[in-house]
Amino acid sequence: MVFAEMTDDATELFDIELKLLLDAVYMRYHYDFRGYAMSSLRRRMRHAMGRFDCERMSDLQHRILHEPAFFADAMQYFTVQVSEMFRDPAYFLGLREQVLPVLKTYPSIKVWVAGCSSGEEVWSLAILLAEEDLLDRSVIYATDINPEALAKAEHGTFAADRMPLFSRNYLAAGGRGSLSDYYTSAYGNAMFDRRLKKQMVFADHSLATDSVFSEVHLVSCRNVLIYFNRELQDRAVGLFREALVRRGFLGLGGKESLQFGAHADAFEPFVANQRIYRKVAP
Amino acid sequence: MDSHLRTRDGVVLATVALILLSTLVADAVTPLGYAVWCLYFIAVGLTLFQRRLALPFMTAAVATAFVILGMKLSPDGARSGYSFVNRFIGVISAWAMAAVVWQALRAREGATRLLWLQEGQTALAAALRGEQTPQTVAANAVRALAARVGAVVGALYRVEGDRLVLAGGMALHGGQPKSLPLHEGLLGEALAQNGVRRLDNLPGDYLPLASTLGQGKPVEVLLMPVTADGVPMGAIELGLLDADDPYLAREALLEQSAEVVGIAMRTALFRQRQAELLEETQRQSEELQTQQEELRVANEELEEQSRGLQQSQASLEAQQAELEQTNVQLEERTHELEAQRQALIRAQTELTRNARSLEATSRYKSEFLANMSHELRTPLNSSLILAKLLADNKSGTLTEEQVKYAQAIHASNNDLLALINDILDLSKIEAGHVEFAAEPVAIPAVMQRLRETFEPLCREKRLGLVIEQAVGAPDELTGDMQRLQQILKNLLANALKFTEVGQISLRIEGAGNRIRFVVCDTGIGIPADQTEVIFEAFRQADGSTSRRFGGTGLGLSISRDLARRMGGDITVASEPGRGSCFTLDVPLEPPADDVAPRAVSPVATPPVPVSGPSETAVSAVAPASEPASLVPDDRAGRSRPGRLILAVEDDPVFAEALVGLAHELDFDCVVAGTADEALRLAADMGPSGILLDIGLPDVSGLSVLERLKRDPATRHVPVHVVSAMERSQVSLELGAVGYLLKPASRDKLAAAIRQLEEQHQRVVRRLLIVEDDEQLRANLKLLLASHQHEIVAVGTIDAALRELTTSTFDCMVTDLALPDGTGYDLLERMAGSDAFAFPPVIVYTGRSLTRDEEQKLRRHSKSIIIKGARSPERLLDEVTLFLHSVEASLPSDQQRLLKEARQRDAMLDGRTVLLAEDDVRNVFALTSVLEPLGVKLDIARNGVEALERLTANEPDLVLMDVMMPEMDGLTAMRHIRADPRWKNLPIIALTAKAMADDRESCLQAGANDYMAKPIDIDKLVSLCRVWCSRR
Amino acid sequence: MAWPSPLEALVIGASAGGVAALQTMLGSLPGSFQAPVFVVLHVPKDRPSGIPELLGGYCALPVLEADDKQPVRPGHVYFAPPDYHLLVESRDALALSMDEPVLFSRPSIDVLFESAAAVYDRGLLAILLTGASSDGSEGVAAVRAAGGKAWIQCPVEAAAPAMPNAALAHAGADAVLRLGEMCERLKGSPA
Repeated sequence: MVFAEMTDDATELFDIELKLLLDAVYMRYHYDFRGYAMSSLRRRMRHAMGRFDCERMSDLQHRILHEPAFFADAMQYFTVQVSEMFRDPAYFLGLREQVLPVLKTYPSIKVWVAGCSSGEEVWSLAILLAEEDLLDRSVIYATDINPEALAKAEHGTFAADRMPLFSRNYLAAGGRGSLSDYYTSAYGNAMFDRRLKKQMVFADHSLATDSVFSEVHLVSCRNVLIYFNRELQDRAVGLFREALVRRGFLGLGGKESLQFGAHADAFEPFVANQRIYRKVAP
Repeated sequence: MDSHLRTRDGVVLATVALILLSTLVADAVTPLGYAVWCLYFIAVGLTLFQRRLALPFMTAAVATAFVILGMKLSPDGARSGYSFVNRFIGVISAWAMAAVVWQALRAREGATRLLWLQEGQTALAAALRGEQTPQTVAANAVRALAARVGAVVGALYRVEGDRLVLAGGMALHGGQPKSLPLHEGLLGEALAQNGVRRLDNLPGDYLPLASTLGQGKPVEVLLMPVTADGVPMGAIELGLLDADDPYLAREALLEQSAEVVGIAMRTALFRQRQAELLEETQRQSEELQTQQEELRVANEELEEQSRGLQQSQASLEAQQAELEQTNVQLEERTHELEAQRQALIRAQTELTRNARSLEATSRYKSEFLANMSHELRTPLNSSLILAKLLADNKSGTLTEEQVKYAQAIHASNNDLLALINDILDLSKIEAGHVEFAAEPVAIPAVMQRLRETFEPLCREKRLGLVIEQAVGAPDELTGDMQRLQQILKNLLANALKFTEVGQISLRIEGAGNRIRFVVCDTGIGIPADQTEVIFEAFRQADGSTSRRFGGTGLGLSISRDLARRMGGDITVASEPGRGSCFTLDVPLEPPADDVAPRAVSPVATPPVPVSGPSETAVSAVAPASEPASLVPDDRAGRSRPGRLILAVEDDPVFAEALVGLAHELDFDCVVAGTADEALRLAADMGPSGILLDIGLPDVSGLSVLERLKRDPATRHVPVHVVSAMERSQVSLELGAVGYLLKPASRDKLAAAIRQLEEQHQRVVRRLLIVEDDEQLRANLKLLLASHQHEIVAVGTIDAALRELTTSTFDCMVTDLALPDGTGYDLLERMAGSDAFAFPPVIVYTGRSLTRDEEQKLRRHSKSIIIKGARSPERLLDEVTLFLHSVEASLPSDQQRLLKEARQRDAMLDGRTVLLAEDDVRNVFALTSVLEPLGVKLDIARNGVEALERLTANEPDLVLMDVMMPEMDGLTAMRHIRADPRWKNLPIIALTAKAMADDRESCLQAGANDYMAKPIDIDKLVSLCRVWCSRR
Repeated sequence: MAWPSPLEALVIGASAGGVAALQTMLGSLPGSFQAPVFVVLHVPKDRPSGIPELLGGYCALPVLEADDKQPVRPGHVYFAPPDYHLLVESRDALALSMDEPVLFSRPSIDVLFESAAAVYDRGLLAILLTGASSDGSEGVAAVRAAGGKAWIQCPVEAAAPAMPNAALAHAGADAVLRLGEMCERLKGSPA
């Protein structure tokens, strides 16, 4: 990246071009990134321009509009796919010790992992539910806008060299056995038990444009909202609010807060020190 | 090069043939003996200039044949015998020559092949020279070899683990597999045999060739292994368009190249690995550096923290030392304080005891006085009458002197009676038995009456009398005129009594919402230290005064007590020798809390133990209570229908106050003085609420409360206890809504009445618990108990149904396992008959449910709770929810639809609709709307179930959710459409997606129509109509 | 004077040796300091950081660990949380992200500086303190290119001079100052 020419004007022009690009992407592919937080999107687009040898945003736009295959490649720069299994173990411990005992009182349980990315969290939750003997009566909806990520998530195969980290997290999250009980490794990959997958539904769903599809008891949406601006955050949390049953649960990333949004009053903190909220009774 | 050779070969062959033929012709025409056939040697010799090894022999053979033929054809010449021998020798020579040429050709061919191979090796070596990546090694090797062997397409697969991975090639079409299993296929075979293989008769799409001229297909393929030091590294596959192998050296070249390519590949791989490792090392070192930095920062944080901790520890230690010091001091101080406290408690106990005994003494005194004065009046009356009779001297038998005596006795008796009346009055006031009217009092009338009374007396003493009203003073007040006049008369009489010269005056002043009556005189005055004493009963400023001026001296005490009971007071300002001013200050409106006996007099509300004597005293003094009602109330004429308070209270003063208060709060009020009356009135009049005293004359109020709560007719009536006795615990347990301890302020009493009102307006909710385990049933009752609802708990289905027929419930909690059936049976029986009201049902069960069970239960129950650690909490929450939001549970448009749907919908009646949807909320909403329309709804929770149901039930319409577990809606629709039976079955897809292309994918999958979530029930019903009608 | 005028925001980047430097710097900020302050300190990713709380004890301004989309208030100090990049989303809100680490660091100084430069341009003052990596160089360049000012701690004084040196070599500075001088100047800030 070179900043020599980055004057005020350049920044402004960059933003204008970026907005045009987002509009164009929306019209062409129906992916709505217009409500994404500008600060990090700016940076990622600059990366994409470097990576695809585009001197200007308009070059990038041209290729994105005219080459659908290119857009599929460029998609990774619009969304961020970082996750680990049982990331932030205290969160999963909170779910295990405080949320699941309440969910146990329902005859069937639905969990929505919104923005599931490559699925680490989906599989983590499935393991959690299995260990609490709840998996058989649960359905886990895993949604994301990125079809490639969804396919990966559905596959449930992760690089074997990530397993030591995942195992550490798993144990810190109160795991009852060993993470290796749930996967078999081959060719440098760890493939997770197909039985965990039986209750998963993978679907392409956008928090920016789509609506609620089912009533759920727990929404886990971690480190997704940070990529949204406040308006889009409000829309997304509104969807969760609508989807959740009376007194349902919402889990967010460690630094995401409902406090600054429009739905702050609709939820109350449920697990101390974790961003696990419970819907307030109307 | 090759073609040049081929041309040359052609030319040579043609020349040979020409020579052979022309020689034959020449031989044929020349007579024998001419050795024309020698020319055949030239032909044989010429074959040296082409490449085919067989040609010399073939030429020799042809030459042989021609020689023989020539001999036959030639015209006879010289002796044929010689000719024959010559020709024979010639033939042998030709064959020998052919052999020599063959040898030469072979040697030359060997050399050429060797050269070709060497060139190939050199070219390959050149192509692989330099630092190359495995990919370029692969591409270059393939290209070099292909150029040598005349291949048009080629690929190199590298061994990686147990697979062959495409490493590079030339003219590849892109459709090649990127990787293959190691031991399968032709490549694998080539690798396993470690030898070059050649293949023709290729399958149709084998290694297609990509070129700008379109796709061609090689006719022959060469497979070669690539090895390094004998270790297999991979394999090369080359495709050739023709099978021409000029030197028959392709395979040899390939065999020889295996090692070269292999080693180059190994080197390249090694180099690549090295580069990667280097990069990795660099990356790791950078990462390590970053981590190190982060750790340094973390360390700094820790150091900083420990420094802070050390500091705070030091200060903590100092603080602790200080604290210890302070502690010692504190301890000492505590001991002191404790000692003081003990002393204080002792003193306080002493004081309380004293106060109690004083109070008792004082009360006994008042009671004694009240009794005594009453007792005294009877003999005094007779004494008065007798004295009067004597003084009248009707018989005239008494002397004038005796009449005077009799008159003196009468006068003394009269004085005595006045004294006794005063004492009686005072004791009544002090005992709290005086009632005050609250009526409008016209001040001018009061002034007039006083003037009439006192003017003659003043004239007699030659004193001036001024009675005046200040400007702005009010003309009216609300209060008891009798008592007001009594006070003012008293004050004026007092003034008159102690004034010899000058005047007495009464001035009336206003002061906000109060009024002041100021009575001044110019009499002897009162010393400052005596101004309070004069108000005390039985004491006067000077013991001699009464003797000088007469009177009991109780008037001021009585006046002040009366004034205080009226919410006012009397104060005095005086200067001895110049006169006194007494000021009566009363409010224009009687005070609000005068309803409860307050500590205005030494005697508060009599505590219960002594209430007996006190009440007898009251009834003796004021036998005012009527047989019908203790105080005037509204039992005869109700004016506020539906608003009635029953006051159970035996103290008529307090009861009357309660009536007033109730009226103020817009309630009618009836008063019951006894428990029996209370129960009768509660049952007959149906009050909105009951204020209950506990200390009743017949039985305790607690028993009234218990009986009220036991009787179905009265148990819903809220009861608030107001009593001097502390029985709050028991009262609340018996079902009182509140408890108030006497003496209570007016505000608190009003609050109690309001609470009754609120409680009454709140419809009491009823909860039915069906649970067979007795212990658990009791626990549930405890858990769910509340003042706001009533719980009925039963253990069997029969009992539950009995309860449900006899009364209505707002919510029902049921177990699934019951002695006479399952909870599901209960629900079915409830649903199956109109005889039972159907409240919201919560299933509370100990076992987990299958999906079918859940689905079945869902039709009738609003909520299912599986017992567990957190279930009581949820049960309580949901019971509360259903008890308090019964009407609100259906959205308004749903209710409207329900109403509209009372008459069955002709279009939908009897139709079967398959709903494939796993969202309970939608299932419930659709069921509640579609079933009343006559639709038979069949529910599937995923695509697989939907397909099963389809065959079983043959629905008229399918509502298909797109996002479902197991099999999604799109797949399910495709399956349905694939079956010819369901080709025309209408399907409406339900989806949460916003985009138009989603609609497309639904329609493509076979949906007839489409509907976005959240579902608008109204629209969906009309869509169902549309599609059912088309059927 | 190398001051942005008016001073609208202050961004600070630090790494090894940064705790002590930040303690001095935040400790010297007067309670009347008007601009919001954003700080990236390279902290380990895998554990919560106690630094905001620790340094809050020395600072007259409120010191917080940033939450996503937290409103930006004048005179507040926001620290990047461990394992999140801190960015300035707008004048009203900050943002966090989990984009790839930059130069193995998350939070990254570059990311903060660049995002702040885009929002505050001329009104931004960037201060780069001690550190042993080369994070912050691109950020300083971005700040200066957008018209903001950059002060870099004198490498001679810095506990770890690599980071100031790298930035000076890559992007230069509007002032190279000792910690004490920076503090003095900040006390008399024109805003």
